[in-house]
Order: sequence, then C-alpha cells, then structure tokens
Amino acid sequence: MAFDPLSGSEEAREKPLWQRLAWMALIWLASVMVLGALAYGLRLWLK
Amino acid sequence: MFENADALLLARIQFAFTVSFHFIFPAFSIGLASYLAVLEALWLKTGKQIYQDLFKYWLKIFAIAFAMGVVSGIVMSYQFGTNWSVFSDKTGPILGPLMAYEVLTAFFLEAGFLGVMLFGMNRVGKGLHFTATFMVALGTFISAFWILSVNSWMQTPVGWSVGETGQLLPEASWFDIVFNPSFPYRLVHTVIAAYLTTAFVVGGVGAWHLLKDRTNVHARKMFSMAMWMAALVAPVQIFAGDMHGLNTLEHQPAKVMAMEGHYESYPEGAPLYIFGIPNDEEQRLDYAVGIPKLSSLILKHDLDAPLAGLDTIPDEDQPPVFLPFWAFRVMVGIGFLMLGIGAWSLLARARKKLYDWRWLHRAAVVMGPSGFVAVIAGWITTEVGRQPWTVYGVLRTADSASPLDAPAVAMSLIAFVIVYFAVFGVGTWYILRLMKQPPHTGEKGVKRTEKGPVRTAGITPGPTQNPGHDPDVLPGSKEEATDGR
Repeated sequence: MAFDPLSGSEEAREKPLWQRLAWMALIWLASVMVLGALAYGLRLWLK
Repeated sequence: MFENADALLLARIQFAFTVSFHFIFPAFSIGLASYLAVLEALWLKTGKQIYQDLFKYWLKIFAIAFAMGVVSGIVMSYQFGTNWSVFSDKTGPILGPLMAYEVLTAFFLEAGFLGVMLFGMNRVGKGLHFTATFMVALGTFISAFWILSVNSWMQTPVGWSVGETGQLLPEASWFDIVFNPSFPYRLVHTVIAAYLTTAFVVGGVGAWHLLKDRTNVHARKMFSMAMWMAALVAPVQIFAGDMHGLNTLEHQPAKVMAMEGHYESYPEGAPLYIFGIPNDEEQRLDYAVGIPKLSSLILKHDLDAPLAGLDTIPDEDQPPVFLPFWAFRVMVGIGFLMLGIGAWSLLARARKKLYDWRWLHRAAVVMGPSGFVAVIAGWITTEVGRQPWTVYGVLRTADSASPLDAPAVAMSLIAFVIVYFAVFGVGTWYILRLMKQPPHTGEKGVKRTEKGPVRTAGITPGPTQNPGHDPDVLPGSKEEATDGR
C-alpha cells in the first residue's frame, strides 16, 4: 500500500487526547534522535 | 599533487561549493513549509479535497528537500571547525551561541515535528498534525532568523570588544549583536526570496501540468496560488532589495562600489552601468554601457549626488569586482522578470485567461528554477562583496583559515564534490520525478480496510473542474481544450 501521510485522521479522533499527545511526543523524540544519529555519523566522517 | 596550490583559495572554493549546494534547499523549504501550512489550514477550514491532495503532493517533495538541506547544513557547520578554525576561535564567543540556537531550532522544531507531519496523522489527529506542520514552518523561519543574524553580524559587526586572547567578545547587549544594522534588511530580503523561489517552483510545476492538460484542477489551483504570490510579493521584494542596498551603501560602501562597477569616484553624479567587463588590474570597467547619473538617483535619490569609487579604498581592502558586479545584475534581472510574470498573470486573470494563455505557462515553466539562480546570485553578491574580510573591517579572510596544507583541503574538496553530486544529484532527480507526476484527486489515502463502501468508479460525486472560478473559462471538451494550442 502506498504511503499516505494524511490517512487515519478519523482513526486518531477516537483516541483520548493524552494518548494522541503521547504519540506526538514519541514521534517527535524519535525524529530528533534520528537527526542526532545522522549528525553524529557526519561528524565521524569529517573527523 | 596540489602542493603548490593556495590552501586559502581551496578552502574558500570548498565553502562556496558547500554553501551554494546548501542554500538551494532551505531557499525552497522555507517557502514550501509555509505553503504546506497554508494548504493544510485551507483543508481543515474548507474541507475541500483539493487542498489535501496538494498538501500530499508537495509534502513528499518537501521531505526530500528538507532532508538534503539539513544534511548539507550540518556538514557546513562542521566546516567552520575543519577549514576555518581561526575564524571559529576568534568569533566563537559571539557567533557560537547564535549558531547553537539555529541548530537547536533545526533539531527540535523542524526535524522533530517533520516526523509528526510525515508519520503522525493516524496517531495524533488533524489538530495536532496541523500544529506539527505549523511548527515546521515556524522552525524554518526561526532557523533562517538565527543564521541570517550570524551572517549579518559578519557583514556589520557591532557590540564586540577584543579579549586578552584576541577573541571577539560580546559587550553589554546581545540585542545589539542579534539585531545588528544589516540584519533586518537581510532577513526580510532573504525570506521573501525564499517565498518567491517556492512560488516560482510551484507555479512552474503547475504550468507544466497545465501545458499537458489545462483541465487539471489541481494544476490550476497551484498555478493560481503561485501567480498571486508572484504578483503581490515580487514588487515588495524589489522595494526590500532597494532598502537593503541603501543599508549596504551606508555600512559597506566598498561592496556597493563593486556591485556598481565604480572604480572611480563621480563628484557630479554616477552612471548606472548596464554592461561592462570589470578589469581589476587596470581598475576600470571595459566595454562599459551605462546610463548617466542613474546610480546617484537610485542610491542617493539625487541625479547630481557625488558617489565615491574604489579609488578611495586602499588596494588591500578592495573586494574583487567581477563576481559582485555580474551576480548583482543576474539577481536584479531575475527579480524584474518575476515582476513581469506576476503582472502578466494579473492581466491573464483579469481577462479570465489564466489557464488558457499557453505562452504564460511556458514562461512560468522557464522561470520555475529562476528563484534558485537569484538567491545564489544574491549570495555571491553579498559574500564576495564583503571580501577581503570574514568579519567586515575586523577579521580578514586570509587570517581566518585553519593552518592546513593545500593537499588536505584539495582532497576534502574533491570528496565533497563527488559525494554532493552523487547524493544531492539523486535527491534532486527524485524530486523532479515527483514533480513530473500530475497531481490528481485522492490518488492515495483510500484504504481498503476503511469503513464504508469500496468505490469502484472513482470518487462520486466528481470534484469540480473549476472551484471558485467562472465556468466559462473551461473548455467544453478535451478536444476543445487542446484545439490549436
């Protein structure tokens, strides 16, 4: 199935707010960590 | 090999190469992030499918451009340590905190919320997803704010003193450092340039698809939105550029002399040179074609106002003229072409022919990448015009580089050229491939596991072919649409 970034909003609406906020924090943290790992890799390459 | 090369020149070429590659991506992503926020807001407000479709179409492109911008930006920040360690050491107490704020913004606003934007809708819902989109757009602006503050301080340094170790230290007010004299002008001019760059890419892609099929409602919408942006913002940009130029004349007169090709002083009104071949050795503009007194009129608002030339600047403090002179003309020329496209689109819109005038669409396709050329030309104008200083009037470029041998700098430059063309070449090729695909309704997002009927004959009722527009401008049939055009 093709990746669709805007699908599932109805599915999410049924969940409580705290759960949606927790997901937001989790995805946000994972994204920051991915960039952190990438930056560290580049640092090692340029060292 | 490279033993006899100039290490400083190689380091400068390397920085110019990496920054030129890097600048392309944020120039696009700053505007595109805001465009996405507008599209999602319109989708949430109106519920119209077309905005959701356009959001999806541009989000994929944004994600790739953003990733390439972040990666190339990280490499650049490391380069301050590898090739410009003396500069980093001297200016670190002032520029370090400002660049740290930029990096924090890139990590915690842009990259963090991009993940929510891409993968979070089915977890966080519409409201929080829009918050994430807005935070990414805000993050790109704040990121630009900090990095342009850094660059502007290098152009117009204030609020510093020299410490015991020779470092430049902040004095009492950080506000003065952040909001240094050229910063407000540079911020406005650069951010508007990013918005215009995006508008012309979006407009070019829309025009491309209109040339293929002018009944494509998505192409119409993106072309229309882009042309509004061009028509309204290009004049503002020309005004902002003029103000920026006047600010540069006040604080960096040698740069303006180079941009104008004024080797000699003009006590009774200076000409505006349209063409010329700068000759630094002989200190003259060869084959010059100019309009008498116009430069004085533009820069001093007086035909007879005297303007000093490079003959008043010591040789060792003069910038090279060729690059600022021609880069400035390229930038200004593109700015006026953008203004022309915007005016042309207004005329077409007034005559209800915005989606019919094929030559307008062709021109918009040609102008699609023009914003990138303009921002790079502007960057060359301001950076080469600042030479021979890294911090204007304070720290020379020749005194800023790391004590590296030429072969070391040359090898890393070669590595950068190979890796950048390979990685960013593939990324750019993929973006172009995505742009080539026509935007259309609901191509993704209908899951077979969703509740409700499975549609087998498209979406019913079909989307309007001309939302919010006069039905008369639409052709009655496909044949009519392509007849004779």
